[in-house]
Amino acid sequence: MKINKLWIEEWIKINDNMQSLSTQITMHGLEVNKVNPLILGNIKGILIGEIIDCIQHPTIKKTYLIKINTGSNKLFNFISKNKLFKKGLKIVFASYKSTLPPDIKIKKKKINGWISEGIICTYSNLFFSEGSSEIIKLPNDAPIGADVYKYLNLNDQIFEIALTPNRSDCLSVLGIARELASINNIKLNWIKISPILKTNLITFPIKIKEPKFCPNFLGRIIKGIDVTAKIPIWMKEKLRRIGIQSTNNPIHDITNYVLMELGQPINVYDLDSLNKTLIVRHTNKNEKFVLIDNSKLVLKKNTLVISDEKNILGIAGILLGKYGTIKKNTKNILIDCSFFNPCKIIEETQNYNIHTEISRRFAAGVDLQVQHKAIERISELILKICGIKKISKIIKISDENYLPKRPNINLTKKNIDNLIGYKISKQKINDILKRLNYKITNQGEAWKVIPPSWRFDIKIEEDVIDEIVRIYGYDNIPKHKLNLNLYLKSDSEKTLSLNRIKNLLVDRGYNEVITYSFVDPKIQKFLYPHENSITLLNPISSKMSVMRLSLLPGLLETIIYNQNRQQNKIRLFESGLRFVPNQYSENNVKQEFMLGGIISGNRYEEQWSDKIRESDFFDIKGDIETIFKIKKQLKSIKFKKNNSFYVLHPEESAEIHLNNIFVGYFGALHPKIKNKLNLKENIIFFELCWDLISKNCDIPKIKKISKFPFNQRDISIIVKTKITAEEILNECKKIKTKHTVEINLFNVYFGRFIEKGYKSFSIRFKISNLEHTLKETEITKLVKKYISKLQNKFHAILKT
Amino acid sequence: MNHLFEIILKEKIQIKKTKNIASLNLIRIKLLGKNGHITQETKKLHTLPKEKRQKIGKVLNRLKKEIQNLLKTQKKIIENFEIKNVLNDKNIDISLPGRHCEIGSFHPITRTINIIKKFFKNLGCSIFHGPEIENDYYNFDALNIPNYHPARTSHNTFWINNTCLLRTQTSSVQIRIMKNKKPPIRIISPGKVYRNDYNQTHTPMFHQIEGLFIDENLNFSSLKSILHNFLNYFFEKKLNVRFRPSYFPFTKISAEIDIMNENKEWIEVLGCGIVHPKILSNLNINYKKYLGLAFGMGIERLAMLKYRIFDLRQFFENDLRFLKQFE
Repeated sequence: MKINKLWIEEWIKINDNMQSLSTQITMHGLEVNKVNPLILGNIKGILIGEIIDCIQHPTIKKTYLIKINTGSNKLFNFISKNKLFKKGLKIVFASYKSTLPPDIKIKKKKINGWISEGIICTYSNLFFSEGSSEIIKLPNDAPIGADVYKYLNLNDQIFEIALTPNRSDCLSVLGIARELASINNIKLNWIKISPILKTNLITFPIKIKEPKFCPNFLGRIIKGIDVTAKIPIWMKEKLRRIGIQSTNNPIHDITNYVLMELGQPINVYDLDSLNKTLIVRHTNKNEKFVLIDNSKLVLKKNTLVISDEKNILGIAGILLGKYGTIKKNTKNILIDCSFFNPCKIIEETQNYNIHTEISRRFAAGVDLQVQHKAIERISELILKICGIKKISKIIKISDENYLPKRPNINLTKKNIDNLIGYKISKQKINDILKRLNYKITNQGEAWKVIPPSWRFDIKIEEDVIDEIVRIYGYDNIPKHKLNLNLYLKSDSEKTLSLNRIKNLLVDRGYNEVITYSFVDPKIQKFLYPHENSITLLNPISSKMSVMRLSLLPGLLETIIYNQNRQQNKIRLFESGLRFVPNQYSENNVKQEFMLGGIISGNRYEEQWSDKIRESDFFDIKGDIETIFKIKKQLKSIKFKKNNSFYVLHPEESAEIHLNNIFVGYFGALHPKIKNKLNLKENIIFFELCWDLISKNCDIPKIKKISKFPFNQRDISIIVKTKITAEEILNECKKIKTKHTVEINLFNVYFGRFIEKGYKSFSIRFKISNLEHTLKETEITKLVKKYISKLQNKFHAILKT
Repeated sequence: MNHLFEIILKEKIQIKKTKNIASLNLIRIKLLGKNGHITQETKKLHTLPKEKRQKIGKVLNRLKKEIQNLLKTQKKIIENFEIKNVLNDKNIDISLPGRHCEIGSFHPITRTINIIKKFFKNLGCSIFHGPEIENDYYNFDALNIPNYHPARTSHNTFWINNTCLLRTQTSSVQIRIMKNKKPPIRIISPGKVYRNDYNQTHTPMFHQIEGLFIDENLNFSSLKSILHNFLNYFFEKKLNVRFRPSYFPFTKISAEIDIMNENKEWIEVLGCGIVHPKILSNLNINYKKYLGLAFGMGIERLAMLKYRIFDLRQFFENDLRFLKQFE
């Protein structure tokens, strides 16, 4: 909310020694977002002037020559197209040599042979966007030649305060001033309200049918008012400074003024258009409510409304409608100033999803002590501004049973000390509670306290302690030396650390990315045509409206983003949840943590020492194998032919199975998808279900190392092309031997020297024995075994 | 003998001329080898009379040593020469770049989370992750944010259906933990949260870390010292820090923590408070015995301050030119 310093100063005396107001307010819980001086920049020599002559330009149509008196010997000329200037009007005049904000030096201007010697100011001349383009018209009694800076009290500051939802009591000048008075331990000076003592015997029937929800109703009838009257400039200006634009309707402006001053919403009805009785009641089924703009709202049963015998005038505590409102010719009015049950108001704002300045205050609870003052205040202002012929006494209809009960809260010194961790003296606590207007009864080391009538948010002991610390100052509570009990957690070596794997990927040249969890439904449908996605009801845009089924959409989008910025060699990874509809999971969605990566372009940047080559399937396969190597389970994974991921190239892709459980997949993007997304470079992608691979790592168990040298034998065989490396190696591993053998397939060759349909594999055997140095005969015997196995099984031909 | 002297004289010159070890070896064999000239003369000695034998023997010994020394010296010269050649062969341009020194990078958000994790792990915290699609019970109701509460509307929630939503805060994790664990509890929970806002200062997805300590003997003062220490650790310097009152439905003595930046402006970095007793008792934790401290912080804000990132949206654009600066 916006509030200006001068208005606050009507309630409290602000001392120059005080810490700056904004710091004070912020450090005690009402966060000041911004403080601006009312006038942003320089202002000098702006005076009150009177238009003493206004004639039509002799030659140019719709142009007027105006003479202005600012109290000196010299009269100023001003030329305008505005026909509203009339002789005798008091205005704000910036003559040449004066300065307007931010720092505009006003100069003489020649217009069609005439010299204009200044500017008649509009609100926006002084306040920029905070003011309208309306001419500032001053009252008749404004002293000619007086400095406008002083006359309009322009030496003011505007605070913008972000109130927390619990502090609706501060939604008024009274509220903020009261808070500042408590903080500074100074007196709150209630403004002088002159109650109208001479009343007339007039009345109007009022029925409160739901005292439970409207336990306090104050009304008053006023007759013979002039609604064409204009509100005085001081009121207009005060409203403007706190962000309310005044209207043509003085009653409306005065109501707003009292609302902002005291925090009490007031309704005013056109008395003559009311049908017989004013009723606060519940609706029946299907009642219609006509809004200001003539639209109709069908109300639910048991909505609390204000009505007459015929029409619904408004939803209680939320808004008024078309019937009963003030008209241009209204003479007689009925004022209503009530307390509505906050829970009821909250319920109705939810029911109709209507939130107004009024409902905001009623929903939080309005101060019961203020209603009487507010009705006297509005009467006083209406009398001053619109005149009054007859006025009734205040009609009060109240039901004690349903008035809000003030809680009686027990407070103990021990609890205060324990919660804060620091001892605030009893005397200080007493002092703070008094400053905050609590009713307190001290009983030794304890208190019984009743919070003030405007604090509906204080319910339990902790709330009161919160208040004590708030006023004492959070910064005045010392920090203890950190003293925590020691708890040992077990970080099992059996769990694969995500950070370890991220480090691996980073060191292998991957850049980590974080992409939005919601993706473009078109792309997702295209990648996963057979799967359903979770859709947001209120997405930020249609391109961010479904939850991702994998990390692929985000990674692809990032590739496209970067390729469009001339990046060609790209390696990216991401970790995060994917969201799959699943009726057996909590909230019907399976949220799986995935680790995915994508590579594109060359494997390395072009370099002076090496040939460049494109990244391919085996680059990613190597990265994946390294992950399982760290997990010590490289031997437990199997790469199987991909049969279920249509986004991948059917041949250049594989599924990863760990101990026969599917844990992920990888491969080149399907050419069809590449074309559709207009991707030119090769793209290879992997995705792992992290929760399936992070558990049950093998902890290394160390084998004996042979003291004797190993022997190395290489063989080359020729086999049919369709025979896989895995088959060859698996077959070799089947051979039992008492020696230690490391088998490594180190070369694959197709081409010129090999018959078509065949390929050659080179296999290296490193053979050793724990007990002795191997003899040539032992080695030859073993290698022969391997060869004959491969010959029998695969018809392999030994290359010599 | 004279013949021998002649040969030796000739070979001596040869030795000095020799430029490689192999030719030097040949000379050695020629003179000192099994059938070398000097060896042959020595073999003949026993045929000579004793007197002559001694005399000639001495001469032969002297010659032998002389030759050996000469060979040794020349060998050294040749070896030095050869090494010099080897060294000269490897005349490289050391200013050429090393081979493939490319590495990747952690996303600044991960990097920031890792620093925060390290601090709190040292305090004995475990890491806990919660789901991102939540229902309104965990995200709101259990956190003391009932249906009508203004905090609910101000959160700009993304809804999936009447009850399910994308969590708007990591605080929902607090409830899951308190439901499943008995005090003492010490956890932090980093993760993504979502709000329907997209402009210069808001992205619809961002990251928070939630912290929860439930134990005996905790209080507001301990909360202050934990978080003060944390901020000094994170920014690696002594900061100007202030605690100011705020309001969260799920805490009492709620505070917001501001730090002062280089422009002497206060920047809000953290929200915290003492867990509302109602929440503890709802979850069957004895609130007379245990006290809960809770805090939450926005990761992007911390990362922006630490790494001087000016545009929030850069975090999710994933421009390689941005990411590679975190190598």
